[in-house]
Amino acid sequence: MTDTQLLDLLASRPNRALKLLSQRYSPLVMAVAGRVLPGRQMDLEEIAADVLVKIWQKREEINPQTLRGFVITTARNLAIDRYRLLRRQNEVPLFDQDQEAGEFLEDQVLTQVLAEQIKAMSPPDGEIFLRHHLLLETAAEIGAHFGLTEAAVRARLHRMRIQLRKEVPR
Amino acid sequence: MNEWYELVNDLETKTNEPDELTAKRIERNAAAALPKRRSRLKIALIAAAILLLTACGVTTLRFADWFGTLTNPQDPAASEDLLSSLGTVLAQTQTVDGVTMTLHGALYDGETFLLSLSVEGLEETRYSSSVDPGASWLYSSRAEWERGAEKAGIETSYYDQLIQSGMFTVNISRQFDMDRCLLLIRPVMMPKEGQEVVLHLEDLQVMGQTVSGPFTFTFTPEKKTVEQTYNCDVQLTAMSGEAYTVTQVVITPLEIRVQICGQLDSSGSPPENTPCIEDIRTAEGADSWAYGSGSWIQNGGDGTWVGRLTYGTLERILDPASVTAVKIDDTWLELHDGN
Repeated sequence: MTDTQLLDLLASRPNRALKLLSQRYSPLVMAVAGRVLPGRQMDLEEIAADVLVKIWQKREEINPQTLRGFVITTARNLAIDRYRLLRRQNEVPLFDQDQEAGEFLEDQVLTQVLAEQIKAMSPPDGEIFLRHHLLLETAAEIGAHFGLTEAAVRARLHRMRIQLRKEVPR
Repeated sequence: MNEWYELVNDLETKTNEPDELTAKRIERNAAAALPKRRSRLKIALIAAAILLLTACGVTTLRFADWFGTLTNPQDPAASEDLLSSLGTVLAQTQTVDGVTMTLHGALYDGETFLLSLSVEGLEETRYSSSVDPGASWLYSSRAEWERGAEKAGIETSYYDQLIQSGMFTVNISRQFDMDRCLLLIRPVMMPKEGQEVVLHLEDLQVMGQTVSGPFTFTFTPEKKTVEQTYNCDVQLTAMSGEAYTVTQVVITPLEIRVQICGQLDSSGSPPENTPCIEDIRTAEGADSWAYGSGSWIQNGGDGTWVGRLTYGTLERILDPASVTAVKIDDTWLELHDGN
C-alpha cells in the first residue's frame, strides 16, 4: 500500500491505517528519537504514538510524497521537546555530542530561511548538516557514510553553523 | 515546513523493528488519542435520544465511554448493553487545587473489578499513557474493616498499615486534550459482595504532572454477573501426554474460565505441561479477542488434581453468547447447549 493510500485510509479506517503506518514508520521514529533520548523506551514509544497522531491530525495537509520527511522532522521535534522537558526535571544528561552541536540543535528552529540556506549548500555539506541535525547522526557515522574522517565532518559542521548563524535570522 | 519534509524525505538511516509488544503499545496509545468517530447523523440521533431521555426523566448511561478501551468498535451499542449490565454508576466528583476527579462507574463481577475515573484541570502536561499511583490506595473502608476487626479481636490501629497493601494499576484509557483524560483503574483487591471500599488518590503522576489531592471516594461496588456456563465431561490429552477432563467452561464478557481435573501421576505430579487456552471462535468466525492466558493447578485430594484455565486480557468486551468454541492447546472444544 502506498503512502497516498495509507493517508486516504486514515479517513475511512483510522485504526487499520494507524497500524499500517506504525509498521512502516515507528522504527524510523524510534531511531531518530532514540538518538536524543537513548534508553528511554517509554518516551520513545510515546513519541512514536504522538507522530502517528500528528499524521492523523494533518492527514489532509500532508503531501504523501514527503510523508517520510514529515515523520523524521516531527519525530526529531517531539524528541527535542521531550528532551527539554526532561532536562528541566534533571532526568536526562546533556547531549553527549559536542556542546556546540547540542546547543545549536536545541536553539535552532526549522525555518524556511534555514531550509533554503541548506539547499544552497554545495554537496555533500547539505546532507551532512541534515544527517547531523535532523537524523541526529554522529560525526563518526556521517564520516563513515561519506568516506570522511570524524574530524573533517566536525570541521565542516562547525563552519556551517557559523555561516548559518550569520545568515539565518533568529 | 514543507521544505524540510522534502529535504529529509530521502535520507536513509538505520532502524530496528520494535518487538511485538512495543508495536502494540504504540498503536494502542495512538488509537486511544484519536477522537471517537461519530457521523453527523449519529451525533444528531444521540442528541435527540438524550433530549428524549431527559424529557422522560431517564439517566443516560455512558459505560461505553467510561470503559472505552473495552468497547467493540464494530458494535458499540452492543458493548454499551453488556457493560451497563455489569456496571454500577458511582458519579462522585471532588475538586482539589483546581483538579477535578470524577469517579464515573465500576465494573465488578466477583472476578474482575475495574473503575473509570476522569481527571480535569491538569496543567503543564505531556502525553503519557502510564500513570504512577503515588501514595494512592484502594481498600475496605475504615468503618467496614473495624467492624470485622473487632469481631476477630484484631487491633484496629493496623488499618493504617494495611491500606498500603491496597494497590492498583492505572492507565490512561483516553486523552481528550492536554488537561483532561480518562483513567482505567484495576485494583489488586477483590471486594466481597456488599463491601464498602475507599479509593484514596494522593500524589498521582498523570501525564507528567503530580496531582497531590488527596481525593477520597467511598462506595460499595455492586456485584453483577453476566455469564454463559457449559458443564461438560470431555477427555483431552495434555501436550506432555497426560489425560485430563474438562468439566466446565464459563464465559463472561471479560474472561473465559475453563475448569479441568485429572489424576496425579505415579510420582504425585500434575501434567508437566499445563494446558492453555489458545484461542476462541465466535459466531462470526475466528477471533483474536485476547493474547494472554493463565492457569493454576492444585491438589484435589485422593490422588487427583484440579485446575482452572483463564483467557482474556481486558482487550475488548465479548458477548458470552457469541462464543461457539474454545481452543485448548491444539484441540477445539465446540460449545453447545448441554455441552
